[in-house]
Amino acid sequence: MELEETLANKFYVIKHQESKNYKGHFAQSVGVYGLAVYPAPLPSIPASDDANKAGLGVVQQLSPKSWLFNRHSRQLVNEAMNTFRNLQSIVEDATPSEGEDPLDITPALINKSREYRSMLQACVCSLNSDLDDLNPSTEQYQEMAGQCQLLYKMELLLGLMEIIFVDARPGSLILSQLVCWVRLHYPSCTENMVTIIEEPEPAEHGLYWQTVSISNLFTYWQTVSTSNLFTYWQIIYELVCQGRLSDARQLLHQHPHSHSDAFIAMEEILRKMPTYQAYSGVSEGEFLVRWQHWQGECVMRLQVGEFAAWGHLKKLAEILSGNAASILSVTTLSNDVGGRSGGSWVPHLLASLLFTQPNITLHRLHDAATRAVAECRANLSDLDNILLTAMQGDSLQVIRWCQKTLDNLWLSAHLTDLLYHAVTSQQSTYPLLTAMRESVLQDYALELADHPSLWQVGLVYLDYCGPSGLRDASPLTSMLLERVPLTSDAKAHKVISMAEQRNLDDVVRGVCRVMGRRAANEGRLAAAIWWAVRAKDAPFTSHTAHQVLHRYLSSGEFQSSALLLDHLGPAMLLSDTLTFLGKYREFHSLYLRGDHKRAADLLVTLIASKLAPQYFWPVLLLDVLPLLQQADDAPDSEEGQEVVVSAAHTYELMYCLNTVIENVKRESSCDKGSEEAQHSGLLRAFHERETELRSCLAHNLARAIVMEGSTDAAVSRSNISAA
Amino acid sequence: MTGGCSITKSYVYMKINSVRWKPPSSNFSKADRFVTGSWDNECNSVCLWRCGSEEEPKLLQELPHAGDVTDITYISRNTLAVASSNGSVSIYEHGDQPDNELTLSQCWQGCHQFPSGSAAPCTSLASEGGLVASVGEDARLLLLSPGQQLPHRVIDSGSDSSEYAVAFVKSNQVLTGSMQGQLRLWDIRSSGNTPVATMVTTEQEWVRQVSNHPSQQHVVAAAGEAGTLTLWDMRNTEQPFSCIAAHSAP
Repeated sequence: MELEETLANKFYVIKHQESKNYKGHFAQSVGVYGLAVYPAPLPSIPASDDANKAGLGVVQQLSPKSWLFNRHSRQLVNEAMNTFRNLQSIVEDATPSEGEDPLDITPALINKSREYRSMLQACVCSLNSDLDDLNPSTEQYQEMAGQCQLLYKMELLLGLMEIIFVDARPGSLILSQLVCWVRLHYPSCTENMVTIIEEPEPAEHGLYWQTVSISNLFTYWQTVSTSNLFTYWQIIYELVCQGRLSDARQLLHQHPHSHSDAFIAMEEILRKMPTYQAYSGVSEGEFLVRWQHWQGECVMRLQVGEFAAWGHLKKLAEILSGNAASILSVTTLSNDVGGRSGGSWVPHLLASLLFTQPNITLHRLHDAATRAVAECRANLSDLDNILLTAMQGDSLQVIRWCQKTLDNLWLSAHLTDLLYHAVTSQQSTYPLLTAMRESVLQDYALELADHPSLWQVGLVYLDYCGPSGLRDASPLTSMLLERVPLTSDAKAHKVISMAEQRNLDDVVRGVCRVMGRRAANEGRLAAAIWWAVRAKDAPFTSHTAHQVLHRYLSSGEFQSSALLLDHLGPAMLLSDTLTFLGKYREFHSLYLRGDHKRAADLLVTLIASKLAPQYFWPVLLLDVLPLLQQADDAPDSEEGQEVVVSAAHTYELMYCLNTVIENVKRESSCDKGSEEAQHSGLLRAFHERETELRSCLAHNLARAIVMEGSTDAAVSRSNISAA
Repeated sequence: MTGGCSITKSYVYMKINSVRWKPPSSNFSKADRFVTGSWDNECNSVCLWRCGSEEEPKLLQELPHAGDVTDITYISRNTLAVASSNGSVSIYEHGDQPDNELTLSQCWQGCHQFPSGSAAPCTSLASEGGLVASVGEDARLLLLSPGQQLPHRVIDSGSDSSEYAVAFVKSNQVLTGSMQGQLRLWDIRSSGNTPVATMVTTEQEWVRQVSNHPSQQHVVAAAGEAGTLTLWDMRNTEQPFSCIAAHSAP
């Protein structure tokens, strides 16, 4: 399956029936990548069932689906995030402070690149193991098989990028790295070798037709698949083309005629082939000389005719001598690459490099590759284009190709990041690459943010998007956090903790307000206050506290908020209204406990301090009434009347009473409608007992003045007597 | 215990909220199966896994579940209760050998509801002696017994804030922790809606989990949102006897 096919060109058909009012469908974007599609005009009357079935009365929500969100790819997303984060912290640790030399992070980069590749391989493995359980004809099987192929190709690309950009050793020979790369990805020859060696007579595969008589063989021969006939030698050719000479020699040993001169000569040649090791003490020039000497010997033996008796050995010698035609005939006949056309020229490239140009360097790789492609006459698929662009060394173009051909940005994002760090660690700057990295990472984070479960992962990527040294969260983070759907308390708390980690106080306040409002709508005002206090949000706290007070006005009791207010502690000071509420509740509890003196003190201080909102004064005055009356009821007790409310405070209370009455008169004269409101619950009680209140206040004032006057007199007399 | 413990891992493909070992089928065998519940996906599921002594956990069965899984608890050796974020509690049963498959046997739909009628997530479960206690964001404590349709007892905790954690302290006393940092002890045999005791920490932080000591049932640990762990002795409920700042996050 080609890379192009994975660009699912799927269309979604919107069903509708022609009706009189139908004017087409509109679409509007919803979320990050979703679309809401609805018919125009919007039906103004509730749609009947028929209209619903026709899709007319319905708003449809579409969102793009990507293989990244499948079950098996989840591990890719999560593990990649981990690796990404580790990489950023390694880079940060390695950034030099002033005056120091930068540490070399190339080994770390190579490590991370290998981690990405191993993730891809692990994903392929798990997909394969699940594929075994599925029926091959279902669509799900096709989809998973396609995904497997895609991941395999991604890993192929990543391997090449590692060689060219991350592990780049400019000017040095890269053949050994290329050999490793190809060996990893085209393993069919070793697999075949293993199957063949297990056979009792491996060489029989190719030589069957020589040893058995033709008459009774004819029918059998037709049933044997043609691939078996030349499998043995084909495998040897492929092994040699991949540079696995020791394996080839082992297989040659299995041949019944391996003791003949030709075979021994071939084995000697294979054994003597020089390979370049980076630190083996052999310089490049010397290696090249040795290699040319070896190939010269090979050519000479071929010309002398040592292998004339064995056609296969002759072909093998031709390959070793660098005969292009033989190499081509071998590499294009292999079965495994015949099935897919992407990357099929790669083994050919390797073989021709091994035997014609072992001193290949990065700069010449692209030319060699184009030559190989031309010789193979392969149709260039997208994967081939990307590989060729990589060999040209154009990292930006590679990333652009990746973005164009893949339907999600997993590979692009991580590849860009890796390349960016590789480039910066080599002391060069590439401003285009920096800009591209930021944009790709942001896009990838946005893709993830739309997913109900992976939004947390997306936010981690946004943290590392900004230019280094900028510690603040990007504005995109706060936008995304605000828009996470808050389905339950637990999710709200998760969002809040993420926002707090990034010092996004606005977001915290916003989320708390949403949750508080929801609670308030349900009537759970104490929870609303708790949310408001949590966010230290003064305006919202006041608003909710007012709502609690209004509820108290209409129902006369605190209901559920009592428990919260009892234990509010220092958080009470957040807003004046809340402080008042808390103190008022304290007054209630003091009164209920029987501690009237303190309760009265508290109440009067509350009134005098004008903390209470004006609409609540009637209630407070009503509460003062029993306290005043209590003093009234015991006028003749011998201990002397306890005047609970002092004169000064009584003046205050009278002032309040007058203000309230004036307000009532003013409001009732200009606004008839508020009369209803005033006659609800406690306010009605207040109006009924207004005269009672006035008389009690007057009595109290009288008594208080007398008491204070006499106390003062007593004190002053005792002072005089003491003096 | 000498010897290192080995760690094996395998991928789960979804965010898991709750993991519980299945009690072994007899007193002498080791537990080798566990149940996980997922959350925050479009379709959540309850899965049964088997994990031998040195091998990777293997997924045996996956059952779809409506709403996020918020808590799982085992009622008996073969029955477990699962709490969901759409306000319902479901009971699953393990079948007989060999693979102990799970089947849904009962579901109390929407047993936690806000006064306005919308569903309130059920946040925590505890079980003792065949009775299941569940608390939810609607601040109610429900006692359910498997086999009966309606809850055995509903206790309205009288406060607005969600209850988050529940644990059985004795067979007739249940401790609940709320979002405002209060722990309340209820006696389920007595009627009425008042708690026996209320304990408040000074910091008023959200109590996420409550759990009792395995052998001393009167010692209770409460975990707070800011990462502190408070230990209470139920016999003396005035003050916590220990307060540990354990983590920097819940």
